[in-house]
Amino acid sequence: MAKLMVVEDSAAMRSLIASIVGDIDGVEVVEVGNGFDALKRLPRDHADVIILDINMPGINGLELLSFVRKNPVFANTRVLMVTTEGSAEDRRRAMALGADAYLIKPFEPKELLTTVQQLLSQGGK
Amino acid sequence: MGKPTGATPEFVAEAQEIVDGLNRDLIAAETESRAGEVPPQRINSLFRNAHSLKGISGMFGLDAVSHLAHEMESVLDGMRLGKVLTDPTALDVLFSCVERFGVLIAAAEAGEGGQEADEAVEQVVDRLKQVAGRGSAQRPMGLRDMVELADDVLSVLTEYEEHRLRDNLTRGRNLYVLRTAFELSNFDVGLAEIDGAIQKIGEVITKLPSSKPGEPGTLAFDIIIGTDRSEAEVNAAIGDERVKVAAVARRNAPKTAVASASPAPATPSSSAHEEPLADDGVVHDVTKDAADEVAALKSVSRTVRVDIRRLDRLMNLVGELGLTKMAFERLSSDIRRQQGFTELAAELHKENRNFERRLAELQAGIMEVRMVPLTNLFERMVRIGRKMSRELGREVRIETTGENTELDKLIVEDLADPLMHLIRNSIDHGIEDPDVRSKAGKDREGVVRLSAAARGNHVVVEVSDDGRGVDIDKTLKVAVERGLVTQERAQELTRREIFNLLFLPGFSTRVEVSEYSGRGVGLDVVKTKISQLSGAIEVDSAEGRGTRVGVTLPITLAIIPALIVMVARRTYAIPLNNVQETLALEKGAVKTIERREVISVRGTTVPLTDLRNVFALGQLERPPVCYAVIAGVGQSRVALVVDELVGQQDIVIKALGRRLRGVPGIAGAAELGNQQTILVIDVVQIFNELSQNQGRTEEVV
Ligand SMILES: Nc1ncnc2c1ncn2[C@@H]1O[C@H](COP(=O)(O)OP(=O)(O)OP(=O)(O)O)[C@@H](O)[C@H]1O
Ligand SMILES: [Mg+2]
Repeated sequence: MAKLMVVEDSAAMRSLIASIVGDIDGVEVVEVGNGFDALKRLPRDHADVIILDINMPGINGLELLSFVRKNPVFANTRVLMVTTEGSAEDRRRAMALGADAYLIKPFEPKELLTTVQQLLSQGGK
Repeated sequence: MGKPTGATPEFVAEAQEIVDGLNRDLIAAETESRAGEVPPQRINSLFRNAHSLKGISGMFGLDAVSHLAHEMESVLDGMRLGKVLTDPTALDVLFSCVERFGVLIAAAEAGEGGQEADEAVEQVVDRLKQVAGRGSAQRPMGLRDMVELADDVLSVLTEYEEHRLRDNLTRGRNLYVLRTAFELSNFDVGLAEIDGAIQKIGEVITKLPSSKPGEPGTLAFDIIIGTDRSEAEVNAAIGDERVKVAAVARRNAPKTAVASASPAPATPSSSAHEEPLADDGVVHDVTKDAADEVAALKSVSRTVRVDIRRLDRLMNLVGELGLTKMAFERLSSDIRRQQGFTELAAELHKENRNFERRLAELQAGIMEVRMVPLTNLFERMVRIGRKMSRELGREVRIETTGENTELDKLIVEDLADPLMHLIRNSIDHGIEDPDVRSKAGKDREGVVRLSAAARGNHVVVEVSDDGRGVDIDKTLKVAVERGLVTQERAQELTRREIFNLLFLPGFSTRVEVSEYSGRGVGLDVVKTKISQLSGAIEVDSAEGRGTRVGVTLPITLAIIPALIVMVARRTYAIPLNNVQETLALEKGAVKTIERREVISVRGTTVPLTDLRNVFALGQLERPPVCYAVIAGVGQSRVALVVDELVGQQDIVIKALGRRLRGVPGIAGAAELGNQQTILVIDVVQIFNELSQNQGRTEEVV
């Protein structure tokens, strides 16, 4: 069973994303509402794919991403950044830090599905 | 799964929350901008909210909201990156955005469009674009040339954090890295403490988590902060030697010494803030431009927005003036007693009366400003009610009366959730299916009525329906099943007592869960909320005919008339709106029925509660002559036994200090004229305690 973690502070957005990717066969979706909770849960719930918002209070997406990338334990974890059209610069930085893919809001559910499926098939499991 | 369209309740709830947040921040920003400068955290918080709103509205297909939020976001992004001026003109446009959002979200919620951007939206968008166009262009200097920070730190900064770092540098502030480690389980608590300490002396720029190899279960952080304090001062502010503070060195910083003990001397400038150090001439003097802009702009608006907390402060001042007035009164009557009615005494008396009248006017004036009609709230409730009935397949007409009734704005804001819950209950539990209704000889269409009326110092808001009424048998059955009353006791309950069972925590007669009901946050939560507003709530219902829930609220929370009493040599205040009458308590008047003390007040039996027991002041005996204060909340009454009645007085309730917060039966503190602080009794809470204790003893029996 593959595990997806959705890290997003907007509850409506989070449950929307979770309900879209929850349709993929054989995945379990973990939802977290901020970077702090993600940090707490990551060591326990080893996620195969993290779907990560950039703008969050507390610990933002880039900080979380750098944590994941610096930690060899998460070498096989794929990170999908969810950004907006305006944040081109931060998106560029995320890719430089080692994000695997990004989506720009608003996206079609289909885009999200195919991207996540692709990342899952690349996963080193 | 297709793309969701339109405003789901979840979307609406979150969007509304975001818009409220924007509004709060804008109000604060307005004050801050008048006082000098809007702090970066404020602008960032505004940005984040606009950003979230854009994100969700785009996903949920509300193009108009998303379009406007997008433009707003880019203006705010410019502001937080120092590219766009944050001045009154800009704040004004941002306020217009918030207003538009309110309209659009309401329309979407009611299913009345709001999808397409209309003219009004485009107008605001045009103004946003103008604001964005007035930005001051800055050529940012590469951070790597300015400061000694490792590349793997710099590369993690968002564009905004990078700007904050640069801004702190140009303002001549010192940068430090705080290094610390926490247990994985509670690092957020530790971080929040550091955040709190730093906020007082500067700003947290970024927090980088890293896990120390070999130490699973712990999480290390590098926190970069900017401040004008010295290293020693930062250490002192944090007060935790496990946090290692290290200064970040600057590169070729000409004037400021590396992590110097004092901030770089600032050139005096017209604004309250230091002029940015123009290291190499790249920094544009934004504050001066802003001042010119403001001077050229004369306000045309005739209304002002005021943070309600400012009114609270004024109101408190008025309360304190009231105390001063009483001190004068005392002095004046002392003089009269000592010197008789001299001319001076008469004069003093007259001026005092004048003062009193003006003060009353002032108080009424401030009160008036705080008051808002219930119109908006009612409109919102009607919209929500319509939507619920559509979704639950009921035919319901929602009627309102008395929406012009006014209440303190703070109370109105807190009323939305409870009212929504009551309307939801009426539609969900009360109104029957159309077919059932016509069989029962009722109109197919059910009626839910929302009404408000002023009653002296109170406002009564009612939600009633012409539905099936509360099912008494079912209610009793559930209460017994859940152990809320015993089988025997259940037989004896009056109708009113039965309805009161509905307010007990966890009570819900619904078995299956519908979207709107059965989620376990029931009437008990509604009751708690209303009690917090010093209000009372009551249910009345007739089987087959309908249900009425009445909420009685004080019109304002700030100043209240109170009865001052003594119990065991201590002084307390009892809010007068809870007091029905007072009487001397003769020994023979007290009877004991079922091991409870009661007295008879004009034919009805009222239970007695000695405040001495409530507040555990048992050391001193009840004096031979004492008094009963008959307190009422809704229909329930209790006689509070006190030793002495001191008199009546307006008091300003203040929040309690940490030590007393949470003491049951105490609503707050108030100051009497002679510098004496007294406790204000929370009658509603005493009632709650009483009925709970009653429940408990009955369970034991
Ligand atoms: N207007 C009404 N007409 C008839 N019965 C009602 C009405 N309002 C409340 N009740 C009864 O009171 C009970 C308690 O209501 P309450 O709001 O506490 O819980 P709930 O509606 O069952 O669940 P929840 O509110 O947690 O979703 C209801 O289950 C219902 O039996
Ligand atoms: Mg309910």
